[in-house]
Amino acid sequence: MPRLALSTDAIARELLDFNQRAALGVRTLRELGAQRPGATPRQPFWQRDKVTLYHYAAAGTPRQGPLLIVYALVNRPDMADLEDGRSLIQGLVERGFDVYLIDWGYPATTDREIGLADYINGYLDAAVDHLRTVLERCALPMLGICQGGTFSLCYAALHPEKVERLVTTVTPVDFHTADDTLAHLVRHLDIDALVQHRSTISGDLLNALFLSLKPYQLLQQKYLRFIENLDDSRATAMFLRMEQWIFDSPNLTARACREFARDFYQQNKLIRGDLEIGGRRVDLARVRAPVLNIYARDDHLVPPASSQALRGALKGADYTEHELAGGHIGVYVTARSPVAAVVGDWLKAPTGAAKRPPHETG
Amino acid sequence: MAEFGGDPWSKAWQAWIAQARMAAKFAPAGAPGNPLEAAMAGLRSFGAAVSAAVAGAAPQAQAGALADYIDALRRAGDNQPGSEWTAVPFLWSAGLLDSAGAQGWRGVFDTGVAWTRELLDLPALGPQREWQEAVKGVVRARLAEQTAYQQLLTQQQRAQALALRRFAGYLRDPSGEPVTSLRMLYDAWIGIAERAYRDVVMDASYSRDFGAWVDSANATRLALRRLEERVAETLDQPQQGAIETLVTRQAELQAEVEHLRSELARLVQTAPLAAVPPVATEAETETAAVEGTVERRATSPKDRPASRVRSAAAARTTKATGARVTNKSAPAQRRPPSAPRPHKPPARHEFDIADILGEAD
Repeated sequence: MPRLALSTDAIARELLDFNQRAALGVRTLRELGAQRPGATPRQPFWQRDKVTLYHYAAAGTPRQGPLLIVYALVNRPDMADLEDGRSLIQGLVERGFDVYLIDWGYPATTDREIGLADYINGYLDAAVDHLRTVLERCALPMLGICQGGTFSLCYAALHPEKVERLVTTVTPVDFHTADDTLAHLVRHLDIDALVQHRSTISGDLLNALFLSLKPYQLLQQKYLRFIENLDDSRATAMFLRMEQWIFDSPNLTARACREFARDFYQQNKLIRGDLEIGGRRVDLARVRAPVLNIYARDDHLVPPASSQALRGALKGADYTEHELAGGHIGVYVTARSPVAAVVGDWLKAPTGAAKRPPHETG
Repeated sequence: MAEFGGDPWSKAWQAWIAQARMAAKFAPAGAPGNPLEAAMAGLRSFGAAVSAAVAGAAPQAQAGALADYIDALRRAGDNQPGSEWTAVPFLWSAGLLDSAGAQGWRGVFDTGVAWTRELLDLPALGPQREWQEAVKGVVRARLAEQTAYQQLLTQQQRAQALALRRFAGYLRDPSGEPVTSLRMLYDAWIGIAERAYRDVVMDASYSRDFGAWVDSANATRLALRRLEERVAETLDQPQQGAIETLVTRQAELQAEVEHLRSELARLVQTAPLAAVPPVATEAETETAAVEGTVERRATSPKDRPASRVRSAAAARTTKATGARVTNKSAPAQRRPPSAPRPHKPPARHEFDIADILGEAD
């Protein structure tokens, strides 16, 4: 069977169809206007400087208690609540959880000295203490997303008494796995020179780095498919929300960027046990909370092996691992994403039973 | 080669020759050595690829013509070092610059660089000496950045050549799934190109070249900054260095205040309750409002901190640590949730969130 089986008629029909969709799509875009992420009602609950803790009230029964979500510093946490039906937070709220989400805000030039110790031992710890006080709890369940998962792990190691259970999702732990493209790219950068005399590292610069990991798909193919589907207003709206999320990238403070790139990506200190935050060593063996570690099988930003390294680092803690089909962000925002169900089932299970594989998926 | 000189007629003739050389790049393997005949063979090869598709020729013939064309593109790349292409980026991206022409451009570039470097090596003199040094620093850094960028572009050209080679092989391989639409053809190209790119990027040399380019760009930025500081100083404008010092000092003071606040909170918590003023502060009122609307979750004794004393002490802690509690009665920022809707498949199966994210492998 020959490889190319193109006919003139088929090519002409395809081109005509594409042109028609593009022409009609202009109308769809005009009707839709700007699209913003967000599906679940929320209230600001606590604030310090630019950091805000939001509360999403439980909607389902039975009530399951609080869950604190820690998002990454790169990109906005809107991804966790993209739209109706594509929302991790919506899924958790409907399962009876009171969700609290830390929004780190947009660092300004005057925030250049804010480092990981300020984020983890300062803002995160203050938010946790506030919740512990208001909710009258010794410890809280936490869920970390990507870099937020790494922060949560550090926090759980530094403040083990304050973390009841820990869910890490698409979380890098070993930054030197063979298939880690991002780590490979930044390995030879002079990080000190990069941040020298800079207040922040631009979010646009970070985006360019992420796009360079898959330039053909992310800069070409995706927009061609967008045009092809412009006559579908629902798909177009979803695309526009994702675009808004992807390119609404806060800057990183110079200190936080230097510390994360150097200590984690270049020197891999977390898994080696050499990491210090705020003058204290981060020893993952000190994590006492049961841990559910969720990773994405096709993650091009955080390879599964990077997340799976957590198993060995916890040194016998109550550890459960769960693989999901999909990519780094796709696992959360794909229609019928199983993440909320997996997390909900695990959090509801008694601690001892948490090792049982939750909610078969993928 | 740099042979474009003389009168307009000579220029036109030489430009025509250059065009013919470009066309010769598309000649199939084994084409005649005569430049004119090779050019014509190249044009025929390219035309055959197009007309085969348009005329609906036998599929095997289409695949052959297209693969020949892809191969010709690749050979055009193989014949010249990347630095030559990258001397003129727009021509590099088109992949159409002939080798001799590229060498000509490269020669001009290299001559310019060498001449500039010689100038830079001259010692700065006179009352403007410091200014000259600052400007020379910028030029030096910019030249180093250009060199590093060309090296990185060479790597990217490697990826492109690898992708073309693999794509030609894909088209010639009759064993896979038949390509029945332009869309399938395009998607196949994207997949192959992305994998080839990744293979090159994951090579150790790419990481080094990427790092060298970023570092050189930073060096340019810092050199420019030194010049900018000098200008600002002359104009008696605030300099960024001074602002940075202020920000650093502010951060140190903030850390000191945080430390004092936590000390204060500790002292307040351990102090006898009788010593606490009876009048509620604004923060206490706000905290109480929040607590009134938050459903208590702690139902078992193990959930409660054993030593925790509720209400005033907690509110005092909040006040002392500087946290601001936002009133729960503030209007919702987002639209209310609608009932969960049954999932409807996307209109076209090939479009989903994974496409947007580049996670559709």
